[in-house]
Amino acid sequence: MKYENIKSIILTFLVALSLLLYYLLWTDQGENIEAISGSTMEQERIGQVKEVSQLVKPDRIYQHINGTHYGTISVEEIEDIIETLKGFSFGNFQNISSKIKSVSSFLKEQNDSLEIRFPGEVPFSMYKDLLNIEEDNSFDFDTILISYKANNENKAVVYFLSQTSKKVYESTVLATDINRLNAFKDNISGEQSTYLNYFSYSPNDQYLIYLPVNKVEVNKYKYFTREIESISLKKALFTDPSIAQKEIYTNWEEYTDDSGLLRIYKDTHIVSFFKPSGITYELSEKHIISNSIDLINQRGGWINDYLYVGRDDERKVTFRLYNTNGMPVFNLNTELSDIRLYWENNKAKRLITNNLVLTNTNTPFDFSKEKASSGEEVLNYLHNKKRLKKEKVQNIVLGYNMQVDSQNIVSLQPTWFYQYDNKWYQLYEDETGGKLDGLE
Amino acid sequence: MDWSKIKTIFIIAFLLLDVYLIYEYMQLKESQKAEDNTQEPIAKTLSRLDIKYNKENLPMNNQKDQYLSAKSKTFSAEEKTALEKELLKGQEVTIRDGIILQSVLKKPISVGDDFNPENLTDFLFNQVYKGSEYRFWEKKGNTITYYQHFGGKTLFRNLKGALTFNINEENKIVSYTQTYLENIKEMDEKEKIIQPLVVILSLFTKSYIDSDSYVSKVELGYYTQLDTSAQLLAPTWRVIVDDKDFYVNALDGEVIQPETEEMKVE
Repeated sequence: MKYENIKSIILTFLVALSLLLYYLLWTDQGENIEAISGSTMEQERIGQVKEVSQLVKPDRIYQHINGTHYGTISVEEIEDIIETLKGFSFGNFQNISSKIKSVSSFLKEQNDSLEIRFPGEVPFSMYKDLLNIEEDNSFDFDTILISYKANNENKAVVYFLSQTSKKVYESTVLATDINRLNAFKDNISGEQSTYLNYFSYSPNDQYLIYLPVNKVEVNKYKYFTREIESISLKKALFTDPSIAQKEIYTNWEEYTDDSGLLRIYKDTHIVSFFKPSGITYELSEKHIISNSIDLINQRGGWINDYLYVGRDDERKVTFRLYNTNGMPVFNLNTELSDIRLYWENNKAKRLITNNLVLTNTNTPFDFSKEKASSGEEVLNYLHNKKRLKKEKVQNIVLGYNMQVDSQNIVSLQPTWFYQYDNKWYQLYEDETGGKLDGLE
Repeated sequence: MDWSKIKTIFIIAFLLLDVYLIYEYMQLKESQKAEDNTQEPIAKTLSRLDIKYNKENLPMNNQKDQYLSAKSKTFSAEEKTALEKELLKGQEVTIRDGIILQSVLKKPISVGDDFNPENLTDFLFNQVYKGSEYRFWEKKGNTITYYQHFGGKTLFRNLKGALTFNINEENKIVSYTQTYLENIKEMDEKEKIIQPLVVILSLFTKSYIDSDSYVSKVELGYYTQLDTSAQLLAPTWRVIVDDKDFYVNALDGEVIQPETEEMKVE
C-alpha cells in the first residue's frame, strides 16, 4: 500500500512537471513568433501591380503602302501587332548608324513597311525579353521599322531606330514572319478601320513626324474621379506608417518621419514623396526603367493607365496617363497626368504622382465628338510662330488637355501638342477667342 | 486491469515525456544564451580588425529609446516686443519667415582666441531665448554653432533647433540667429536600440570605415534627414571616426552618409 502511495506521488509530480515544462516552452516560443510577424509589415496596395510589358508600349503604328501613310493609335491594333512580333525570329543585329546621314530621310525612304513608334526611348536589353529576342545589345530605340519586302535569301529587314539619339540598328527576320503581318495590311481601309491617312513632315534631319491629312474627329471625355485617401498614400509609401506625423497647411497636407516627406496638395492633386536616403533599397541590377516600375509596384501600385514616355539624363523617369482610346493626356501647368521618379546614385529620391482615380473610364459622360485641326493647319500655325526654330521640333501629337474642376470632375479636351527642345507645348494656347485648342 | 500496473506504465511514459521536454527546454535556453552573448565576439572582431575605440567613451547604459516629434516655433510680433523688453534687452531683434530670430548685439561679447563654451554659458542662460536648451556643437570659421538638446541628448545638426553666433575679426560675437523646436514629445513605446559596438562594426561591414580606424566618440542623440517645420526625429548614434562624422539610426541601423545627405525639401 505504501509503495502504491509513493508511485502516486511520483506520477502526480511527473504530470505536474510535464505541464510546467510545456508551459515554459510554449510561452518562450510565443514571444519569438510575435517578434517575427511584427517585422514583416505589408505595404498598403492602392493600385495594381503591372508588368513591364503593360507600361513600356508603343503608342502609334504607321503602315507605308504604295506611297501612302496610314496610321492608328488603336490600343487593340497595337496590342495585336506586338503579339505577332513576339513570334518573330530576330537575328543578326548590326549597328549601321554610321552609314545613315539623316535618320528622318532614312525613315522617309522606307516604303512598303510597318512602323512602330514608342513615346520614349526604350533600352533594347529590356525590351528584347518582351519580344523573345535572344541576342543582347546595349542600344536604345524609339521606333521599330519592319520592311514588308523579303530579300532573295527569304529574309526581311527590321530596323530598330532611335530618332532621339540618331542610332539605327539593322536586324533580319524570316520572310515567313513577315507573312504573318500581311493580315494587318487589310486593316488600313474599310468601314471598321481605325487607320487615318497621314503625311510626313521632317522639321530637321533627325525627326520625321506624321500628321493627319484631314481634320481628325475625336471624342472629348469627362470622368468622375475619386480621391485616394491620404491615409492610404501614407500607408503605401512609408516603411513604418504608424510613426509618420501629420501636419495640415493651407495648401497641402504633410506626413513626415525621420527620413521621408509626403505632401498632398489640395488644389492641384499633386502627391510628392521625398526621401533623400532612397525610397527603396532592395533593387536588383536591372535597368532604371524596370526599377522604377518595380518601385511603384512595391509602393502602392498603378492606378489608371500609364505608359513609359521617357527619361532625362538617366535621372528622371516619366510615365504619362493615356486615355482609353490611346491618346496621351497632358497637363502642362502642373504635370498632373505624369508620374515622375527622380533617381540619384541608384536611389529613387523623389516620386511625384497624383491622388486621382478616374472611376468611370468605360462609361464616360459627355462623350461628344469634336473636330481637331488637320496636320496642315497645325503646320501653318507652327510656321507662323516667328521664334520657333525648326531644328528643335521633335514631335507633334494630338493628345488631351486634362483639367480638374472643383467637383473633381476630370475633362479631357482634344488638343494639339508639340515637343520642342525636350519640352512639351500646347498649340493655339496664346490665341484668345475664335479657335480654341485647335478646334473648330 | 491492475491499477498499480497502469500507474507504473504512466510513470514511465511521463518520465520519458519529461526527459524530452527538459531536453527541448535546455536547447531553447542554449540558443537564447547564444544570442545574448554576441556582444563579446563583436569586441573581439573589432580588435581583430584593428578598429580601436576608447572603452570608457562608449555609452553603454542606453538600452531603449524612441522617436521624438517636434514643431518649429513661430515668433509673433507681440512676442518679439515682449522679448526685446525683457530677456533680449540690448539686442536688436528681427524675425524672418516667422521662425528665425535674428539678433544684433548692441555690445559685442568677446570670446577670445581659444573659444571655451563655458565662457558663453552666462550669456546663453540669461540673455538668449531658452538658451539653456542649447548645447555647443562646433566653432567653424567665424561662426559658433549650438544645437538644441532634449533629455540630455543633442538634436544633431537640426536647422530648426540651431543657434549660430557670428564673430567679427576682433573675436567678438556681434550677432546670432536662432530657431527653436517646441512641443518636443516622446513617441510610441521605447524600443531596444542598437548598441555602440554593433554600430561600429556595421560601419565597417558597410565599408564606410576601414580596418585600423580610430573611433574617438560615440554619442546618442536625435536626427532627422528632412528640414521640415514639423519633424519626426529618430534616435541616432553619432560616431566620430578619424575626425569624420557618421550618423546611424539607432533603431533600424541605417547609415546616413556624411556630407551627401541633402536637407532641402523643395
